[in-house]
Amino acid sequence: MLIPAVDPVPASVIWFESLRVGGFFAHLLMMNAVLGLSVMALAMELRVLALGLAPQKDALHAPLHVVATKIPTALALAVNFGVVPLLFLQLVYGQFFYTSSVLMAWWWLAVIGLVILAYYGLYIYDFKYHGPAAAKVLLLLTVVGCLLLTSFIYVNNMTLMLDPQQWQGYFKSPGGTLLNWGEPTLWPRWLHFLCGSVAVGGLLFAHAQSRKAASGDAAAQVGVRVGLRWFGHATFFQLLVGLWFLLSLPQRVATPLLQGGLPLLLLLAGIACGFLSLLFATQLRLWAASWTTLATLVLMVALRELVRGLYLAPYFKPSDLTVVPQYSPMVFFFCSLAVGLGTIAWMLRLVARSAKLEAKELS
Amino acid sequence: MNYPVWWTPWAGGGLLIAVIAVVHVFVAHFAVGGGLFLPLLERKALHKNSAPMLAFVKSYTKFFLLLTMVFGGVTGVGIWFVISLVGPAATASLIHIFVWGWAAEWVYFLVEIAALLVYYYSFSRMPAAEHLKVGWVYAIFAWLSLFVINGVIGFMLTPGEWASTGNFWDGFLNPSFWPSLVFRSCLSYVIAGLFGLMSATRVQDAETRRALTRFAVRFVTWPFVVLVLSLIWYFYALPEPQQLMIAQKSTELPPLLKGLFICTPALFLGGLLVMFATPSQGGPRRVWLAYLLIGLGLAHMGFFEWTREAARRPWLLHGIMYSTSLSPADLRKANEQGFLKTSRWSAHKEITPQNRLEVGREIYAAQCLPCHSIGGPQLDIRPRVAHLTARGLESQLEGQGRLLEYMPPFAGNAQERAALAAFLTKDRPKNEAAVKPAPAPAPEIPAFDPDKDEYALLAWTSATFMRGISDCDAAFSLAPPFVEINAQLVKRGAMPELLTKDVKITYAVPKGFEAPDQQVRFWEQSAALYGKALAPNRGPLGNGTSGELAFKSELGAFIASGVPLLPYDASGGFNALPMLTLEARDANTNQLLASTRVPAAVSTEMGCANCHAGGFSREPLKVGMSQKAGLDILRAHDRISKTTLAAQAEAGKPQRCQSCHADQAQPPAGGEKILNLSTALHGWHANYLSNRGAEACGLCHPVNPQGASHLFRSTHLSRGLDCTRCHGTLEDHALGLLKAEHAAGKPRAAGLMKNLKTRLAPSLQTLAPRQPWLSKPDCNACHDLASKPTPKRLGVNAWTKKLYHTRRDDMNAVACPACHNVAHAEYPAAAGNEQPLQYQRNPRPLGADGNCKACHTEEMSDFSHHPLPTK
Repeated sequence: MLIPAVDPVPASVIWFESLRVGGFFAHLLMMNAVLGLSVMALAMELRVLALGLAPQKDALHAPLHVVATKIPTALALAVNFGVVPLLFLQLVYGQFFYTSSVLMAWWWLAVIGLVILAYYGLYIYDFKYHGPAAAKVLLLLTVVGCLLLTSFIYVNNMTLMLDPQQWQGYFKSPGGTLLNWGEPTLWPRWLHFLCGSVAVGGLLFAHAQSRKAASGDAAAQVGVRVGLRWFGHATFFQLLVGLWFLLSLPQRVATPLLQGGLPLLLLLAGIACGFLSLLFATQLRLWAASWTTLATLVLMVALRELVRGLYLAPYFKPSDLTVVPQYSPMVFFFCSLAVGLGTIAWMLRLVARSAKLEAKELS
Repeated sequence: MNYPVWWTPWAGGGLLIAVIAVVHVFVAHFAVGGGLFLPLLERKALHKNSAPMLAFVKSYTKFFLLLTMVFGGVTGVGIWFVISLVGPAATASLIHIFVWGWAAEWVYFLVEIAALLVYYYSFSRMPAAEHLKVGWVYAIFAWLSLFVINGVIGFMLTPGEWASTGNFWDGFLNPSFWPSLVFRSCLSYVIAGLFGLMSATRVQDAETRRALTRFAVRFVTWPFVVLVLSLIWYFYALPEPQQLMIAQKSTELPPLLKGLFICTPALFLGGLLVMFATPSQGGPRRVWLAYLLIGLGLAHMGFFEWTREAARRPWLLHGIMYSTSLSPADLRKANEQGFLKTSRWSAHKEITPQNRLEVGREIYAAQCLPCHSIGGPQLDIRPRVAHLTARGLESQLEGQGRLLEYMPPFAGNAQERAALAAFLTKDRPKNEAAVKPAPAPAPEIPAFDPDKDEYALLAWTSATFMRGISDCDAAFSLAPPFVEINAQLVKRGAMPELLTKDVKITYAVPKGFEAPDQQVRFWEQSAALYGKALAPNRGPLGNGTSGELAFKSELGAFIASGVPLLPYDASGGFNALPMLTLEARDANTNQLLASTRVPAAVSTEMGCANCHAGGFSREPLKVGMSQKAGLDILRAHDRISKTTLAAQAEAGKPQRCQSCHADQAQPPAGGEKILNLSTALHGWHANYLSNRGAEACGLCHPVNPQGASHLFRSTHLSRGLDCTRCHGTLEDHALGLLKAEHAAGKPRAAGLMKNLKTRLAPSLQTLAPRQPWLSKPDCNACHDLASKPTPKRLGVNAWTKKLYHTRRDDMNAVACPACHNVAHAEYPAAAGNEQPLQYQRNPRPLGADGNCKACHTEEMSDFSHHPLPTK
């Protein structure tokens, strides 16, 4: 059997799984924001270039600028929140995750370079927003290319770790260049993620304009509509891609998933929320669409966990792990978390207060 | 091999980690140091109410954010990626042991990012006091990140009590935690100062530039004193094994330490130089110097981190997991059951001739690649194994980690070692089997008529022939090309008499062997080797290839020492038993009294080139040692013992081994603290050739059954006895020598003994210490002479009080070797029985079976020389 042996964990696995899923949810949101907004920015800049417009004349120039200043921060948070699932994934599923990572090592390591490139690209885009459209298109092409490749590599690794049968490929190709081409869900899973990203990006684009739009700023109002339109289209495609994804699941996963119980309930609830969010988007009800999307994301993240469990069922379940408890370091972590979150809240209060002061001064 | 291995032969594991780690760690330290730099500078700017300085802080923050948050943040994740790819098992252990620590570090990282973003984006938008507070928040949480990661890194080097308690805090607050924390904190501030200098020197306004430069220089120089002290504290906080690895044992560390010792003060002085070289008004800006200092800082960081890693050798997690990702328990299992069988990710579980190289590659991937690339910049394996043959590599792997403790032990069995050695030498020319030397023509046995001849000339040669002659004289000399000839002349009769005077006994080497100086460079190098030039084909006592024996009363025999002789003849042939001709003449009349022939056992089959690459001097026969092999051995000696022998040899000053290593066989002795030659050689090599029988002896001595010399040819051989019956195994043999040297206070002995165990001798405690060439196996251990020896009796551990070749019979007349021949060649031997054949027509010892006619002209009823075994 190729699956490596594992070490004991220092607390009940529920703690780690909860933190992992929670962290992943935050990471997913940020990733979606970065990729979705980058794709949208590219499309918008392409449009400007294709139409030969002077950038300042474009109706979306100002709304896009608001977004451009925020994507790098979203990426900073995406990286940071990515650490949480990465940490706990290693703890609970390390024997699968390390193995699949080694099998596709060059790709996996390339993620670091790709993210750094995208990160700097997004900062340059922010700092040089008023530069020539062609240069910005080139820059965003690089950024989106890096992010798409990164997401494709992730999809490969996250599926390869679930299928030890595919690991036999190592013996023919130990050089870390494998990708999980044999995985039937590979393409729909990736597209599923892309559509989700663009949809979330669309919503965030709209949210970024909403305050100004509410105060009557015409460009911002256009921005809200455009954002929701992107959301609507992406979600519509998502429903099709989601179906493809579902049908492509291997029998051993699809059957228990669809035969009832919690997995099916989550799936149906997720689809329903997706439909609802689409409906709200067509009605330009931004917050309603956002809350239902958030609910969809929560349900889909939970479903994703169940699917992972079904994939790994023949080999492993987290409750198999031996627990050798040590609680003092756990207390140390939660104290750190409390102090950390408290500090962040305090800093955000300072920011809010200074924003208020600034607004007062301006008025 | 719990996990698959990423096969990256050129990069190896280390290079990828080194590249990502060094740049990340440098930037990460900057992130910590900058945390203090920024708010302090902002406070100063506010205090001075300096707008240019505040503007500098803002622009510096942007640079800081782009470098530390983007590059530093992502490469930090990159380190996780790369260590999990190169060492998943160790990474998994660190994650499992410190998961809550890592989680806390994430929290600090989150607050760090949040604070930095707020700090940057709220410049000039937030009240100054509050903005400054956010800066302090950043400083605190950035340092807390260091606090956590410092615990984990320190654990890898000094796990402390964790190994026994498994407690998180024991591992986290490990013995090197505090000094490392102080050191890294100081280093962070120094690096922040360096980056500050780099930015400050670019400021246009001279006054601001000067103020900023002075501020930044303080960041470089003030923590410096604490940094140096903490480095010393760090060293002394390390447990002894880690200290020794740094100070003595690692061959990797000296250049790193040199780099560290150069970079550290250079940083300090460079900082001061920038300050004094930056004029208060106008003048050139020392931008290039600041960049140079950044490079120096990076180099300093690289040297330090590499030193820390090297101090951990051969462990990834000290005492817990070897750099091969195997725990000591895994190692034991692999040694017992085989690596392939215990390795989850081995494609092959059995070795066949077809898959041998692929298995070797798999083992390489698992056990070597974590540190050694193939042809890459990181610890390239090729030059590191070039000095060993495949057989040498097998031995090297067997003893790996025993003496050179920076290497982890090889995990696996002999076949797996051989497969790895085959893989490592696969590109070398195929090793051809040795060509057997052409057999020497059967010697004509001189006539002897027991009824008429009045004299019997009994002869034997060197007792030390088992030490082969080293013929790489321009590299070094272990044994010179000389033999010793011994003879006793018996005047036959009813009461035979040993003649000691008025006779002249001469010797001559056979035809073709008269010019050994044409075969080796010994005489050319004799001045360097012996301090005085020897005449060609002459020994140190002046003896040539023919000459006269002199009577030595203390031995009761005629002797010629230092007779030049090699197994090579003028036609290129090899004969380890060249036949000497001896004649005894009346000293007054020169009348020939007796003549005889005796083979002079002499061989250059030292066997060093069996393991040390470079080849044999007579390659087809696999005898002798090439100059290249000799130099390679010296290089190994230089590397391990920090000598400069290879350079000396290349400069035309080769040395005798005995110049340093005492040797009873060849005085004068060497240094008092240095092991004697036999102990050094046997003690060292026993660690690499353990668990073998007599074949270990045959790798170095001219006794290999497949070799060219066959100098162990005695009756013991035909009776199925081998070297170990008298000498013990190599481990027994070496331990006896080492024990004596240890008792004599030689410091090196204990290390060589550490991993050796007696095998035939009962225990180390009961093993009698030995002096080389003095304490030899005693015949009486098995032979009481009155009865036949017990078949299973061992000669081990019963060493001579008086050496066999100096002993005489019970009448103190006839030397033992005169009738029995010297040790290893006792009659009836497999070859070289000319003496007994001449005098009694059979190869048995002279006088055996009541055959006394060699000397006695009458039948003898008593045997007075020594008791005879009962039938």
